[in-house]
Amino acid sequence: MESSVKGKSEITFQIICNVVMIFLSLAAILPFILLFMSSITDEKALLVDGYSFFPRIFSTYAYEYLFVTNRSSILRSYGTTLFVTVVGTALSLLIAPMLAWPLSRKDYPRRKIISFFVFFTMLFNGGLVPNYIMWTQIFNVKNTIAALIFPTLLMNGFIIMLLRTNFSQNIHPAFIEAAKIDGAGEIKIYQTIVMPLSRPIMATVGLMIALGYWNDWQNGLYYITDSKLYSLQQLLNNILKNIQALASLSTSVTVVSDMPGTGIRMAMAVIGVLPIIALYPFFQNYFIKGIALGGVKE
Amino acid sequence: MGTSKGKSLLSVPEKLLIDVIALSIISILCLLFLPIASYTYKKTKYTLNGLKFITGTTIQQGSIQVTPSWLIIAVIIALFLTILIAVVFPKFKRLRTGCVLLLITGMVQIGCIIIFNMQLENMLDPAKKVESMYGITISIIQGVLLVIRTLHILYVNKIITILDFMVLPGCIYFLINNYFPLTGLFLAFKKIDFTKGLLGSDWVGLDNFKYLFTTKDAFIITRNTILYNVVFIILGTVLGITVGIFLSEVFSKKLKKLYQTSILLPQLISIIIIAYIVYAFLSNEAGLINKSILGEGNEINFYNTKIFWPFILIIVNTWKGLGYNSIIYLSAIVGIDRTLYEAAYVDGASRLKQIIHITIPLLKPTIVTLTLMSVGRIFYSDFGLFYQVPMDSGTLYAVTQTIDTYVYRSLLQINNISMASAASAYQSIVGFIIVIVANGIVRKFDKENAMF
Repeated sequence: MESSVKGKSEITFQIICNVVMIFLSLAAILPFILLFMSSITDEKALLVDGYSFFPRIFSTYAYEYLFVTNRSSILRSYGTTLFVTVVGTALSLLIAPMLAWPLSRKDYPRRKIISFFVFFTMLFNGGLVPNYIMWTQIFNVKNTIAALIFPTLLMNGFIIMLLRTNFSQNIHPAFIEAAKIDGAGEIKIYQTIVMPLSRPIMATVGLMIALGYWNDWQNGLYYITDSKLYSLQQLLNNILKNIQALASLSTSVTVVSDMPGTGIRMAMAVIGVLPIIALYPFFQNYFIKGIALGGVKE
Repeated sequence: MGTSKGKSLLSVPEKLLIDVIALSIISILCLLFLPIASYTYKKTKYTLNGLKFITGTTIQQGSIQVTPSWLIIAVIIALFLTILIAVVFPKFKRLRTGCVLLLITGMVQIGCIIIFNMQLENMLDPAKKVESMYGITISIIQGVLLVIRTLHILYVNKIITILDFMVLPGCIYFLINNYFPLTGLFLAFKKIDFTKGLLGSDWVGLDNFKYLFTTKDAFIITRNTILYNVVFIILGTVLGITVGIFLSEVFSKKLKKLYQTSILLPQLISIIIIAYIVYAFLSNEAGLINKSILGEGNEINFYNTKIFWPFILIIVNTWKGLGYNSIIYLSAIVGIDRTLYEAAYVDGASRLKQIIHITIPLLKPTIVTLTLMSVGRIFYSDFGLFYQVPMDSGTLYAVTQTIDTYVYRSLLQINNISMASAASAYQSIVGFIIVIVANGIVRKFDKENAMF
């Protein structure tokens, strides 16, 4: 704050802050390093020393093994997850702002009742059982790609409320008045004024939704049993529970006997987490902003 | 009603809705006499019309039993109601009433037809290749046309605007995904028997709940859910504020950013990957703690030892949520007026004093709001944390079972739907009461911080 006047206590304070933060940052990052190091450790060394930060013998055999035996199931699960993420996020970003925008308009007569309609979903829900029965018995989503997109994930009241608050803060009613005087209809106003002015919030919300889809495993757990439709997270989940699941998914049978089970688990985890970590630097600003928005009261 | 003068012939509401009446009559006839379903039996294809589904028959010398379908009956009733409404339409005092009634019948019709279509496959055992036929399609098209026509009347008369059409898709999604399952709460009061169907199962009143609460499980899952949540809320708040303050005090902007980025990493990844990380530390054969720290002979079989898990779960949850909590509080701290600190500095207040007397009091609204939100969800647990991180280990259930994992396991692993729906309804209802009470308490003391 007062950069020119730094007392001795100020310096000590800075040191304490930084030391604490460095410690916490390491605590957050090191487990990922462990994951990575374990994945490139030789299988025999793993059996003797266990997973460790400083492996004695390096080996990329776990990756080679995965690449030979399970390339197609890994690639397919990547494809499924990517497809679901893109379609789900696009659909949400289409529907959610269309709902939130009228709710932010003071001149929209049904604003209050529909806002309550949306808000109530945040307070009360039917729980897993009715949801599960509805999606499986009525909509028959079991073992379809729709099961990974539509149940629970597409939209929630929180996103609508977030967008609504943002619209009412950022888009001044005077803009709308002016556009109406110029003869613009509601659709034109939405397309040429609301959407361009809301790009940052749309990016933030879109990122949150996309992460939700990318990391989702629950819909897979509830609705998917067909291994062809496994998402990445579900594949990871099954391999963690049972390393034999990998063997049953592999394309060649001969190599199953010398499967490096201990290392392979970690290699799979690295394959699963890598895209997110690689992209993180590019979207971290939106991510941090999204979290900060979440705590701000409407 | 006068607003519609001369806009188009079809939109004048004073007239009989002849188009609607005609459409409905055609639809009834189609549904009754045109084939609505086909099936293959002994390699020959047969068709069935709607009449058979209303009266119910046995076909193929009794080998296939067609039971009367209440869905088709409902559709026919809805269609007759539509005609009735259309006939008396000009008599309605308000245009809106008539239109709403038409919309309801239209929706009922479409809904019933779609559900019928989806259930068709199971209806005609042992026939194969059961498919719906064009009778169904015509009925759906008629229903959609009816809804469109009604919306058109409303739109032309300026009762609804473009904004209403924009809201529609989102509202429909919420209606299906969030409101429709609420009707499923009644399942908790039935003994579910799939051979009788969900609606046909017997009512058993509160028996499912009685049974649930006579088992030890009810106490265990309630205790675990609430106790873990209390610890998570307290730790999350205290550590979140502390780390938020530390972060805000870091002078270098670059380092601040670096710290934020690092501590948020665990929040970014799925609970599955976190389960892998925990496994890397705790696994029997190769876990870091067993192999490198405890050493040979002292190994602990973590996935079979209960006493460690409360701590493990608390550590994992804190590790995952720390970045999130601290950034929420950081964003609140950043919003505090800087001149307050400058004034305090001039008055000779130390850093610690500034934090105690300025930062924390001004964070109060944020703390109250966030705590209230978490308390409102105290009956819900992070399913992934309690299911994935302990790797679904049966011996750990006493300390890892929460309401959410219990519902899942009853529903999909043990297939005890009655228990699952009882526990699920218990969670929904008590959870709802808690949100209302928590909000009511805050409202009483501090109106500004209440959620609603």
